[in-house]
Parts: sequence; structure tokens; C-alpha cells
Amino acid sequence: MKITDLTALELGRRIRGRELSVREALEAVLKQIHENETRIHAYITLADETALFARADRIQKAIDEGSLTGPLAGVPAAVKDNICTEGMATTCGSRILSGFVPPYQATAAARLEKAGVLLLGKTNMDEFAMGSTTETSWFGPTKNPWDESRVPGGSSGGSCAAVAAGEAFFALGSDTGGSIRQPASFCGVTGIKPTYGTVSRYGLIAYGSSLDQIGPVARDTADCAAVLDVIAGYDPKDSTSVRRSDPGSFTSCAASAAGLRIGIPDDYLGKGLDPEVKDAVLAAAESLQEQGAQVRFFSLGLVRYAIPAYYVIACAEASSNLARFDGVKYGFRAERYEGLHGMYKESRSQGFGSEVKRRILLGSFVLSSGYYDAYYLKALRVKAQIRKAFDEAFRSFDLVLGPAAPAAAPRLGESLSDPLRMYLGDIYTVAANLAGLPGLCLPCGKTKEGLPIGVQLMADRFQEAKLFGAARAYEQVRGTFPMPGGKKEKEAAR
Amino acid sequence: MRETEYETVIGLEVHVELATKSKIFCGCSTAFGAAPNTQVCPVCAGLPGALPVLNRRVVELAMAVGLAAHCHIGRVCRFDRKNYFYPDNPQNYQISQLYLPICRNGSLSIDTPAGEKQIRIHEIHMEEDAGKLIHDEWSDCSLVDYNRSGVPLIEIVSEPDLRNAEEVIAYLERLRLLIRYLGASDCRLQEGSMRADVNLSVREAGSRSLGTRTEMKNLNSFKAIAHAIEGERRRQIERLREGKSVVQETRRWDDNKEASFSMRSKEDAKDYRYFPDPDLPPVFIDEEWISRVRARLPEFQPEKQKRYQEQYGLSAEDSRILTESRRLAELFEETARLSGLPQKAANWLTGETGRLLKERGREADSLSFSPEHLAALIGLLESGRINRNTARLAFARMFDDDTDPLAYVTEHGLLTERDDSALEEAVRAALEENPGPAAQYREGKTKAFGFLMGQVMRKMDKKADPGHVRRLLEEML
Amino acid sequence: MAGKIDDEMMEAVAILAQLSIREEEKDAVREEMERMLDFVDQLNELDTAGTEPALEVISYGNVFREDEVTNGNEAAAMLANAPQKQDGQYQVPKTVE
Repeated sequence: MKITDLTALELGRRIRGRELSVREALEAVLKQIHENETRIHAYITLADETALFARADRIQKAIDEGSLTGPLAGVPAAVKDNICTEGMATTCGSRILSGFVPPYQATAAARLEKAGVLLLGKTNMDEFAMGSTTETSWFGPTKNPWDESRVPGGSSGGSCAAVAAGEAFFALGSDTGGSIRQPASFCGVTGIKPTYGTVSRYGLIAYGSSLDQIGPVARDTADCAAVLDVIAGYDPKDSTSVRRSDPGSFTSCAASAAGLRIGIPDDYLGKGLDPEVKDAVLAAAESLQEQGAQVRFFSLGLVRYAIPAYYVIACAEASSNLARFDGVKYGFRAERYEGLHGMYKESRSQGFGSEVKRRILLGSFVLSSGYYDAYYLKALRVKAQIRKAFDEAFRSFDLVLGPAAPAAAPRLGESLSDPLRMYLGDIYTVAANLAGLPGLCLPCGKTKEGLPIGVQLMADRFQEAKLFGAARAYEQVRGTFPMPGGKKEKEAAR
Repeated sequence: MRETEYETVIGLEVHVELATKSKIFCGCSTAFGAAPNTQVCPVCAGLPGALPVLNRRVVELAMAVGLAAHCHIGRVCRFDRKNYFYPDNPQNYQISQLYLPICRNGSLSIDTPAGEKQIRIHEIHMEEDAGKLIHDEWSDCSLVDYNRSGVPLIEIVSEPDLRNAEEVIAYLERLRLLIRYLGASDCRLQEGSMRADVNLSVREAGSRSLGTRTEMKNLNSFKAIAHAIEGERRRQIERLREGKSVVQETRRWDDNKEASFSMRSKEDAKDYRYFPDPDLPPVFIDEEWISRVRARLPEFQPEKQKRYQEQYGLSAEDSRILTESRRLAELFEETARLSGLPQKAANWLTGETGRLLKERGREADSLSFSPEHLAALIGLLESGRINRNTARLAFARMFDDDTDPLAYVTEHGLLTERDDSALEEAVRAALEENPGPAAQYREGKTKAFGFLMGQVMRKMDKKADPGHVRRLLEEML
Repeated sequence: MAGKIDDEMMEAVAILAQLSIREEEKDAVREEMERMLDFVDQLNELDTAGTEPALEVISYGNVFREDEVTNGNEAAAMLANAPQKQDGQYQVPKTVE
């Protein structure tokens, strides 16, 4: 088995057990990056290798001395490029942040470093996390490691592709409307969007502040739990951060499905869902049932209203959050302009891509006088009803199970032509953001064409432990989900 | 035909910088006078990913001002974003309060020639200040300094209850005194720690409906405010008399040109798209917290003035002067207690103190001498150990650097002579040297007594207690 | 529902967003926005009369920091990313005449 096929926890175990050195782990992953990156393009920025090896040696020393004992010590990982990293360019996949090197570290990244994780670089993403394919990045698209003619999903497509392609042992993503769960499903990896407030947003470049959450992307559930244990926790720098007692205990969540009440919304299985995806998802539910879970179908309601409500709220917040990109303090300033407002408009019009501009315009409109009540407040009322619908569901169920996306990964270029259709692809994921719920996506099969399919589990707020328990129980039966062969290997095998 | 009479209707929006150590949403210093951009961090410089965390003290000061202005304190308040592009505002939105401000429905009373008048306060809300723009005269650039960005402000919005410049200034003085008493701000208009925007409209006298108003900004002295009100009132009346209408707009007052100018531009869409800031959860204020803040409120000026007249028997004027600064009032009460001589304490603190404050260009709030020293000075003077001249000298030193008066007069040998033989000798010599005036006095010309007093004092090098000299001189004549 | 956004409205929104929309893009941008607003309008099918708008989905107690100065002089780091600066300040096109 290649080193890069190991899970993060297994790698950490071997490093602590002196079977592998931190340097060896780093060399292996860098080799994988050198081999794959020109085709996959999972990263926007890679850390300086000399500095990485120096850090690897420092971590090794700390492990040897016994001062660094955590399960992720010495593990190389990647961070989505909307998470600020001190001294390392952070672009959000946008021209407008070209050249921006944050003078401060995001809390989540700082926590990883403290745990002895090696930060390999910054992963590609849809510009400002606005997209479902990683094609809106100013730096060009990321390819799906399972089939390079397909998208990895988005917006955390770079993070999910990096993990799938062995270019990182795990990665951080961010999820505003499904941006961790949907690409995890397309790339055959496991990702979790935690309960809102669980991971500090300090240093996460905001898209929709009331919806954004950072979360882990990894090879399996245990790795996700271990990473969440490190990054979760109250942060006095984020007023929306929550004090909860369970971070630190997710790694030890035992596989358990017995007695779990699992609900499957009928509304998630209707028109628009690819039959192959439906079958794989229902098979996963059956597997959990065989392990003692009680699975029942139910009607969740309001499903078709989640996306319009989401777009109003996310775009409204984005129009304000992205106002600060104006060519004054950092990033891109147009070369030619006339006067102050000319500078603003030229810098922003050249600096932002079309999807971002579309959402800023929509957001500005729904907040403008005369439309605030009809659109923005209306969306917040619908959000309240959606939250209530989930609250009711969680009175009867421990978990809600469904697909993460209507189909497997589409081909590159297929989605961008019709934004509205692309938006509809978030139908199974946005509700968790609106209601602040945790949602975990893990691979549950493949299409006939060999593309991964993911199943999504959602729980009530603060019930991550139930997600981890059920997902691990399912994994025990499913077995290790394979790494993609990639075209090259497939051809060689022929 | 008689020309239509017009009435002026004025409402004020007063911004006050709160005297906190750190900014409203980050741990940067609010100190004045630092080099540009040396008091900024990711939060107040609007770096992407940075998040605001509310300073508790800002809420408490806003509550205190609200309670002092008889406002209702909301049980829940929250922050909203006011969106507009301008380089002094690094996020291109200002965190302010629109939908649920912290205080509502208050009032302040002012004195007018017609008697006391209530000015209603619509609301008080918290917000962040903007940075500073510096315009280079010789280039086509402006420079931005974010040291003031994120300094806490409260905005006190009055109802349109004011009718003329005198009322406006009385209201502002009232507000300033109240806020200074709370220690919530030093409220200096020139330095911008208090800023007033004037909303003004005119209407036909007797009308009950409001005319179209304009908002005037950039008013940094009471004089500018008075001029701006008069200028804008005239401008609006002229327009109406010419049959034109007043345009609702923001105007910038130029005190040098003594005129206001429209600030409208095409880019100025004036649609702030306020919405609740998703980065800041609501603030909950319970009855217990309000009571705690209320319990810490000081006795304010009007009550204090009344008490001084009753308790110390001071005149209305002395009481007013002493209570115009909380510091001065504290000095007075403490000195009165220590010396047991309230009227003497009042005299020093109104007369000599006022003169020196004016001479030194300082404000009463900055007085730094201790009441112990002032009480000691009064004791020395009243017991005759120093004379009035010496007392003035010692007071001036004490005023400047809190020098102990006893130490000062001892060091400089200014204590009055208690050795009666020396004094007797001086009197005898004065009488011998000036037989004429002595004879005149004995003949009943009392004027000559003053001359003889002066002669004795000169001989004593002004170190004698005049009362004592007088008694001795009378005896020996 | 075409015609929801007229030229004036389009221009006003562009000013609010500080984005310039080229003449030749205008129609496409307008159509996209109208299509999106039509999509959003399906929210009106829902009766939300008795529902309070939901802001936070988590309930928070008061979140404060104490009034303490915790930051020092970070001027160099803050200005390092400025596209144009002068004398320790951010340089922008002149904001007054």
C-alpha cells in the first residue's frame, strides 16, 4: 500500500510508532502532488517545499520529545483558499484578491498547526465559494480525479479532489449551501458540515455569514471526526461561535446504528433524482437498517422553497460581505479609471467573475428599499419555517438520510451555461445551512460509469456524534472506499 | 401685503465618541494623536475574514446616557449594517443600529427665555466611527488613516422640537454636560468627539405639518452651528418666497464661506440597504443590568445646583459655576468638607480658578490639584499664617502642578511673622518716621491709617498678617 | 415576469453594487436577474404571515469582549497588501474637489 493511500489517522499512528517519519510522509504526498497536480489542479498555491521540510523536522522533533502527541501530528493536509493563512497567499479563487497575503491566521488553520499538521497549500474553489463545480475559479477549473473530463463539484472542489487524488491526507473545506458535501459526494470522499457555530469563522472569508461553516474533508469518517476534534471549539474572536462540550470526543464515537431512528424524506426521492443515485442511497439506508436502525420514509415539506430562500439570504449577505473588495486596502486595483467611483467600479468589474457579480447584483437588489420586506424578510420567514420543519422531523428521527446531489459529477462546462439549473443541484444540501444543522456526506457506491455517489446524513443541531456513529457503522459494512484509479491506471490495466 | 411668517423646525443628530480604552469591535487603542494606521488590526481595517466582537463598556455607556436622558432601554437590541461605498469606511458598510436601537423615547429639558422646555429624544444607538481622509492639495489623491475606524460612537437623535439656534445650543450644552458627568465622553466639538448634524425645515407660522428638511453636516463649533442654522433658515425661506421648493438633501456647511453646499452626487444613491449584521448576535439587556447601571449614575447638574444652594447656602450663580463640571463639583464638596468653609472654597473655585482656567486655556474637567491642598491653603489664609497675596501665589502653583501650599510658603519663607517684637519694632519705626500721618490719624483722618499700614507692611517685607498689623497699629496710635 | 427591472432600476442596482455593466451586457444581466427573481417569487406561494423572520438559528447569550487594548502597532502588516500607499496611509483617488 502506498503511503498516500493511508488515512490521516493511520498515518499519524505510524508516525508516532516510528514506522514512518514526518519527512517520509511529506515526501510521499509531494511526489503525488508533482505527479497529479498538472492534470487535477487541486491547488491554487503550494507552500514552499524548503519551509515545509523544515517544519516537518520541527514536528518530528516535537513528536520524538513527546511534546506533540495528537493523532494528526505530522500529517500533511490542505486548506481551502478562502481560509486565511498568515504569510501564504489567500485568493478565494478570485482575481480581486490576487497578491493578497493575509497578515493573520484563521483560527481553524491555527488550530491545525498547533496540532502538528503540515499545511501543504491552498486548494482551488469556485470564486468566493459561489458555485457547485469549481469552474468559476479565476485560476481555472479543478478536474475530478475519478474522471478528468468531469468536475469535482464545488465550491470545495479543490479540497475534495486533493484528498481523492492523494494530494493531501485531509483538507479543510467550507460549506454555505453544500460546498463540502456535494464535492465530497462527487469525489468519493467524506466531508462534514458541522452545526453552525462549531468551527470558528475567524479568518474564513465570508460569503454568506449566517450560513458559512468550515469543515473537514477526508478519506473516511474517523478522519473527519479527528479533524473536527482539532478545529472545533469556542473562539472569542467569532461572536457566532458556540461553547459546546463535545469537541475532542468525536474521534471516539463508536460505530453504532442500533436503535437509531432514521427518516428519509419522500420529497428527496422524487423527480430530478438520478435513479442510480437513488438506488445507492437507499441501499445505504438498508445497510443501516440491517444493523439495527429503524428506517422510515416521511414527508419533510417545503423542500422546493429552500433554494430560493437560500439564494436571497446568501446573495444579500454576500453583496455586503464583498463590498470590502474595492481596490483600496488589498488585492486588485484596475489600472485605468476615472475618479474614486470609477476606481471602485473598474476594480470590482474586472476583479470579480460573472457568477460573483450576478450574486452581488441580486443581493443588492433584494436589500434595496422597497424590496427588503418582499424578498429579504420573506426569505428569513421561509427560513424560519424550514427550520421548524426540521425541528419537527428531529422529534421523530435521530437522523435524516438522503442524497447529497441529484446526480454524479457532470462534465466540465455542462453546468455553467444554465446558472438556475446549477443552483437546483443544491436542493438536498442548502436546508442544513438554513437550519444550522450538521450534515455528513460519505461515499455509498458508484455509477455504472464508475463515478462515486454520496449519501448524506443530517442530524439535529449539536448532534454530530450521532452522524459519526451511524457513518462509521455504515463504513464497517461498506468497507474501505477505493481511491480513484485515474485514467492512466485504468488504461494501464487494460 | 404682509409677507408670510415662517417658523423654523430643527431636529438634531448628535454623534458622540465614547471614552473607551479600546474600539467598539476590536482590541485596538482609541488614543488620540497616534501616527496614521498604527492603531489598526484586521477587524478595523476591514481585512477579509476578520469578525467583530462587541465591547461591553460601549453598551454600558450607551445605557448610562440613555438612562440619564430618560430613555426606555430595549430588552433586546442588535446591530445592522449600513451599506455604502466610501474609503473612510474599510468594510464599505458601517455597523450601526437601525431596527432595534438600544434606547428610545427619552427627553432632556432646556432653559429658554420662556421657561423650561422639554426636547424629546427619538432614539440613541451605537455605531462605529469611520477613518480619516486627508486630501493632498497638490496631487489628485486622498490618503486614508483607519486609526479612528471602529472608535465607538453613540448617535442621539432628537425629535424636531427645537426652534432656533439658542435652543439648539442650550440642548447641546445640556447633553454635553450630562455626558461629561457620566465620563462617557469629553464631547469636544473641535476635536470631533461630539458632532452635530442639523435637520432643519421651515413652515408657515401656525402650521402643524412639517416642511421639507435638509441635513447639514460639518458643524464643529457652537458658532458654526448658530451660523449654519441662520443661513439655512434664510436660504429655505428665500426659496419658498420665490415660489421654489426645498429639496430634501444633505448639505455641507462651510464656515469660512458662511454658506452650505449640496453634497448630492449621482453615485450617492442614498439607499443604505440596512440589514441585521449576521456576525453579531443580539444584545440582551435585563432589568438587573439596567438597575446596576442606574445605581452608578451620578447626581446630575440641575439637582446638584439646587442642593448646593440649600445645603451650603451658596448663591445660584456660584452653584451653577461649580456644577458645570463634575470635577469642579467634586473638588468643591471635598474642599468644603475638609476646610469646613464652603463659601471660601466656593470663592476660590469660582474666582481664582476660573481666572486661571481662562488664562491657561484649560477646561474645568482637567483640574488636577487635590482638595486637601486647597483646604490647607484656605486654612493658612484664614488663620492669618499667610496673607492674601501669598495665598494667590501658592494657589497658582497648586493649580499648575498640585504643589503643597504649606511646603511652598515654607520653602519660600512666605509665612507671616509671628514674632511680635519684630512687628512692634516695625510699627514703632513707621510712626517715628512718619509723624505727620500719625498726627493726622489721631485728628480723625482715617485715610492716613492705610498709608501707615503700607509702611509697616513694607518694613515687614509683606510677611506680616494684615489683621495683626492693624490691631497693633491701632493700639500704638 | 419580464420587465420587472427597468433601465433606471438596473442602473441604481449597479451603483449600489459599484459594478459597471457594459451596454452590450445589460440585456443579458437584466434577463438573468429577472429569471432569478421569478424563481425566487415562488416563495410567495407560502403563507408566512404569522412567522417571525429567523436570523440566528442558534440561541446565544450575550457575547462581549472587555474594554482592553490588546493590539499593538500592526501598521506595516496592515499596509503590506495595499495596492497604493503613501506615508503610511492608503492612497485613493481624491474624494473631494
